[in-house]
Amino acid sequence: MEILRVENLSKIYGSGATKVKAVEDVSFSVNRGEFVAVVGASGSGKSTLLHMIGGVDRPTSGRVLIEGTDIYNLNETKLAIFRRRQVGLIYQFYNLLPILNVEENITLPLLLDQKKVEKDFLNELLATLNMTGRINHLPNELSGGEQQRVSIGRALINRPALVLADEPTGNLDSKNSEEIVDLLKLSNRRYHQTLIMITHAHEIALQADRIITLADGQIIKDEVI
Amino acid sequence: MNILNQLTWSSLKLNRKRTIVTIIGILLSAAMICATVSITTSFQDLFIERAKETDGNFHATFYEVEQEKSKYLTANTYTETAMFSRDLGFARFELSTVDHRPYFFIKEYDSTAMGHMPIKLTAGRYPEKSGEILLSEEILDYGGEEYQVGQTIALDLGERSGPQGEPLPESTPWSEEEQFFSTETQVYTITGLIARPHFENFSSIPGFTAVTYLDTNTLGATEKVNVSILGKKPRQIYDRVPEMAAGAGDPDYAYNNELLRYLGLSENDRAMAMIHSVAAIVILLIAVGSVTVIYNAFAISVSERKKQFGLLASSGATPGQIRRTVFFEGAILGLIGIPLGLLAGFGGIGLTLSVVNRLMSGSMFNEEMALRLVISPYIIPITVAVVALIIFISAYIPAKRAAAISPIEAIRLSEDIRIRGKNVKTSRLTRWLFGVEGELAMKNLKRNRRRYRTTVFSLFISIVLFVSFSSFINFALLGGGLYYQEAPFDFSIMAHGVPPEEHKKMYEQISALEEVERCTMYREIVTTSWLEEAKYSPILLKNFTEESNVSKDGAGNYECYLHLVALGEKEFKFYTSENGIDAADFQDTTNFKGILANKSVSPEVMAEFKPLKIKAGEKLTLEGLAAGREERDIPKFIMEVGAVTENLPLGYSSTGIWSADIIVSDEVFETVRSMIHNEDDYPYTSLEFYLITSGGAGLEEQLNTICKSYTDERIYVLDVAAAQQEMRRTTLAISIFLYGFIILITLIGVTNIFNTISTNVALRRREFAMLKSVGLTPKGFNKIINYESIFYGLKALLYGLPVSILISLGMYNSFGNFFHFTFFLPWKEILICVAGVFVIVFITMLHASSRMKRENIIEALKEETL
Ligand SMILES: Nc1ncnc2c1ncn2[C@@H]1O[C@H](COP(=O)(O)OP(=O)(O)OP(=O)(O)O)[C@@H](O)[C@H]1O
Ligand SMILES: [Mg+2]
Repeated sequence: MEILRVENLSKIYGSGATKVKAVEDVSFSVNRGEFVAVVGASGSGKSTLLHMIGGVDRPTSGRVLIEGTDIYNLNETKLAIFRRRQVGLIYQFYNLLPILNVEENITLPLLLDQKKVEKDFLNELLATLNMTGRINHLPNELSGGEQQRVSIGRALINRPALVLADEPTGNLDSKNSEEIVDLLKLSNRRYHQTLIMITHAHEIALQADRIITLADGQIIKDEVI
Repeated sequence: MNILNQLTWSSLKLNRKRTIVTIIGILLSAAMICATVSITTSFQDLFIERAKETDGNFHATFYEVEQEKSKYLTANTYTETAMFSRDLGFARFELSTVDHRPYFFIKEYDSTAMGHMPIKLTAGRYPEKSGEILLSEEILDYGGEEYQVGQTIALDLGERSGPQGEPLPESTPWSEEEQFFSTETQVYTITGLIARPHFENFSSIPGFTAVTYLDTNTLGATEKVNVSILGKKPRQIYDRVPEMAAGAGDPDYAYNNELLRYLGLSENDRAMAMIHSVAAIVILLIAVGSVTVIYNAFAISVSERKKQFGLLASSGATPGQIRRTVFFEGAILGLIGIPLGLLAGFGGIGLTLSVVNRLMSGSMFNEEMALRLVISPYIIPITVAVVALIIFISAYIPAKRAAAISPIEAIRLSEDIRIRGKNVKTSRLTRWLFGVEGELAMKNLKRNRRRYRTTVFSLFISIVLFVSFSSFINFALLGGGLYYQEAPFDFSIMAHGVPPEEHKKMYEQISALEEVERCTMYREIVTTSWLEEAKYSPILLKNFTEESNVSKDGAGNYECYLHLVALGEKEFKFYTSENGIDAADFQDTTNFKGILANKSVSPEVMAEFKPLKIKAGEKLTLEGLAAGREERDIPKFIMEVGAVTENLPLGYSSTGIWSADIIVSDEVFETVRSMIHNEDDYPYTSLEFYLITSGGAGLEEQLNTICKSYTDERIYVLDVAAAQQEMRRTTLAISIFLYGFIILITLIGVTNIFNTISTNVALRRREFAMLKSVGLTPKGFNKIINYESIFYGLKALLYGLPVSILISLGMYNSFGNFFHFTFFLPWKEILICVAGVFVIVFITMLHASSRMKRENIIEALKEETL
């Protein structure tokens, strides 16, 4: 069953001589429960595409349909609620709230939804992320990798239908990397989540169901493993 | 420009809004300081001009200098301007209608003195040669109607002498026994009239002033003249004048103290010192307000550029270099702000003065006595120096902090957020009351202490300045007696020396005037009575014990002053019927009966109260007060209190806290008076009229004419309505100054709050983008902003109000001796302040965040605040 459909999506920065086509006329669709890896050279438009899918960056043209709804037709409030409930976004550059500690950062989407935190799930998540001992620390007291793991926790806490991960293992050693990828895959399977992951690591890409390759903002290859 | 300053320059341009607001802060502070200095110099100028008009425009006078020796004074290097004058003496004024002023008193001025001595031409011109004369206007009012400008008059000059033929000093008042011998007759041409000179107020010379021309060329070598001088350096006057006197044959000399005092030179009278210290306090207040704004601006700018400074430090910039860039920023802002501030200050104060002058013209100051905008050469350097100092102080701590930033700390921005993660527990109540948004707002305030503190502090300072200055204004207006009470009458007349037999006639003549609608003839006899303690109100008793000038007899009774007051037949009837009493009950001239008007208005407690606890039917033993009552056998008499009321008759003038009035009929009044007073008391008999009229331009003149036909003494006819009008205008003018100042202080505060809050919000751009990316709705965003505003406002008020109340109390206590009212708080202003704080905070927060609400999340996240 199709969960995501991208139609003729473009993102163009600037105009005239300085015009950059970060994403150009991209179309594809993803089924529920699929694990898609997105690869491509640096600057090829991977992050831009992911942000547009996640509803945090507006496209220049084209549509993003999630479960049949064009998300950029929603008003600000509805779009925010959509992000809160349906999407878990892991940024390439971990973006945590400096004023909140680890636990608060992770549970933020639940708090915004006035939902109760499931303690068991949170603890399980923290254990997998290897962050159990640090729940009371503030972001500026964490290493880069630790911050990355917190942002992964935040993306998963809500069990969103769509998990979007922008190089989630970019800052991690190979053992940690493996664990994180396993966690994402587990979550993907257990909750029938759709996972779209950008990665530079070939062995991680090979674990996906499907690999989309971007170059200069366009899809040059879309292969099922 | 080196690279560091270039960075500063571009960061100023980048943060255009904050730069502009900071410049506005500097501008306001420069403008206010400049305005305060200008106002001070303008008032000083006004006082100086007034002193010149009343006492003359010269610094010192040498008396009776021989003409020969006067050259030493006039040619002295110290002398700037010299003038000659002389008192020529008396001439008979046959037509005078004032018994005790039957002379002209003639002064001679040379041409310089004409312009410098305290005489004011009201018609014609100054005399230009011998034989020309100026007359005081009053001469025309008191018998000399026929004298006109251009006319010639012959004056009998001569000497006054006592009964034994001894010569009398000039200042001896006139007496019936004195004689006048004329020595010569001079013919003068009247060239003009002058206003009644101010010096006549203080002299007992029994003549009206006339001024003729003194031709110095015709003076003989040994003739004596007075020489007045303006010194070149007024500051040295007290050293040079005695030296000069010694060189000119030791004449007597005197200083023009009134003028020197306002020039700020007087040796023992520090009038100007007081004005200057008030100005200094005001400037200090402005400085405190401005330092907080400008300090905040720098602190914000430094913490915003923290990462930049850290990177610079890591690539080898020395702390000194970094410190200097902060001062460089200050210099640039000052260079733009101060000149603009000076312009705004002069413009603003010029405008204010012109408005104030229009209000005041023809009132408190004479028409020609307007407050002029005086731009003294000191103003600009003073303002520049003070504001530069303010900027330096403000930049000092931020500069030090910037220099101390360690590279890694700056790059991780770890210092701003304290390690408070573990112990911040927002209560369940917060969550329940305000939701997550409230909790987030709270957490932000608690973990981001430094930023939170700057915002609360700027609010706090504004609250304190606003409330304490409001108290100051209220105290000043009240203490200065500028809150007037509406008087129920529009004319009052105080007449003295009218014989009692003529009172009635005078009353009838006044009431017969067409414009007069009601007329009280207010007469009183002061009596005393010994009353036991229980008869007095607690307010009076408190004063009796605190101020021991109240007599107490052996039996523990206090002496109470009771004024027997008669109102005139018609008004008495009116008064009794107004109070539901039968006037006929009070006519009995054997058993006296009166109405106790038991109400006093005490300025000390600012409230009306009942001074005595006396009921109708009680009988009081009264004793009259009269001249020489010890030798005379003045009978005591009984007065029954026939009725007690709290209504006061028309014309009640506050009798003061020690006394109460008993209103009696004219018949009773006359009987009591004939018992107590004899002929000797007549001059002391009080006679006052209070009128309600339909107005009319000529009324004051008519009343004056009537009064003058009854007595020679000075009569005070006061147009109360006009006086109140004037009082109102004066209050308004003073309020314009004070409120203008408070508005500016508030503006400084608002600038500050605006600056702090909008920067704080801008600094959190990424944070808000982050929240939005995990699903914060626009409504939630607004909620966070609103809660933060509320927390800021509450916290600032929580500290600000108690502190400002304490300061107000301190001010009240330190001025305690001047104020005769109990302490009160400026409630109205406190309410305005509370409302203002929230309005300003909300508006600023909304304004600062409105852009962010619509912003592209990714763009904000990518934004580096470097
Ligand atoms: N705000 C912007 N203005 C102009 N160009 C931009 C902007 N943001 C991104 N780009 C350009 O868009 C292109 C795609 O950027 P994007 O971040 O999507 O690359 P990426 O594939 O994620 O690269 P990497 O693997 O290095 O993260 C790049 O060439 C980048 O320079
Ligand atoms: Mg990228």
